[in-house]
Amino acid sequence: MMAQIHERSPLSNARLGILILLGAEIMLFSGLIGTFLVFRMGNVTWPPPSHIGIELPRAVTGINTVLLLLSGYTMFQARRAIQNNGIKQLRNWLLVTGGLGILFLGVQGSEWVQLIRNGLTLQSGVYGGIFYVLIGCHAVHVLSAVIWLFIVFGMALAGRFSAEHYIGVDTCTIYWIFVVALWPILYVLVYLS
Amino acid sequence: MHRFFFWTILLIFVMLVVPTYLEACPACKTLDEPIAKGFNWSVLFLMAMPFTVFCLIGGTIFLQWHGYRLSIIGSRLKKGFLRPRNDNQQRSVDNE
Repeated sequence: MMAQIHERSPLSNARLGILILLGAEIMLFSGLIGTFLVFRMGNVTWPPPSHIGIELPRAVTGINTVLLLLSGYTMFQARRAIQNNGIKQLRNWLLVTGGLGILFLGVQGSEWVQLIRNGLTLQSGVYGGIFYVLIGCHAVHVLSAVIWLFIVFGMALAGRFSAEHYIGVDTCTIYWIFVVALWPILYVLVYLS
Repeated sequence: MHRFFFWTILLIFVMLVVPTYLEACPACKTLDEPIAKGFNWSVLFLMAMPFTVFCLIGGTIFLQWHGYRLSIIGSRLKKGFLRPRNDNQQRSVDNE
């Protein structure tokens, strides 16, 4: 009887859990974006006069944005592959997605090194503070998503997934899509506004 | 009944008159204009987010519970991202 009820449940505990996690994540980033809005709209000139010479790398980050969006597509393909019982394709798509995520983090890291050399640090003022906190928070999320992805990849190598059982891939995909979908909003707000 | 209408009309009157003296951020009145604007937008944005989250989670759960049983939407969900747990399990349950 219990098994029957469990089978009839259209929303598994794992999916419900990831939805609640995403709700908390959205509220976290809402708070950070709200803080950014206060500083951004509170200053007539942006960047503030103290940071007037510092230019954010818009073009490189734009290309990086495309890479991250592409990783969302590859992750979706990974999920589709396991739905069709394509274990090998799942591994390949997960590997490509993880590679794109690492590439994104690498480019972000090199940008940060360049910006710190140019004098934009966490202590240099409101502009530097909000930039590093907001973008850094997203980078930490991408890093955690990459780690999660490689755990899923390890499980895929061990043959833990099939067309009937792929909740691990499913939850990882939902989280990855969230991280990917969040980035263009932050890019437009922080880099282009 | 008369008392109910009295309080309702009074409440509507207060709601129409008082907001002209209120803003999203009461502390912003003493600040400069751009900062007040920033605070106002921030407050409005943060005010909207819990509803967005609630609708997102609630909408997903609603679609999962009800949508997949409807023939057209259900078939789309099975093909798309919000597919229920398992097609084969679901079919076997439906056949029973």
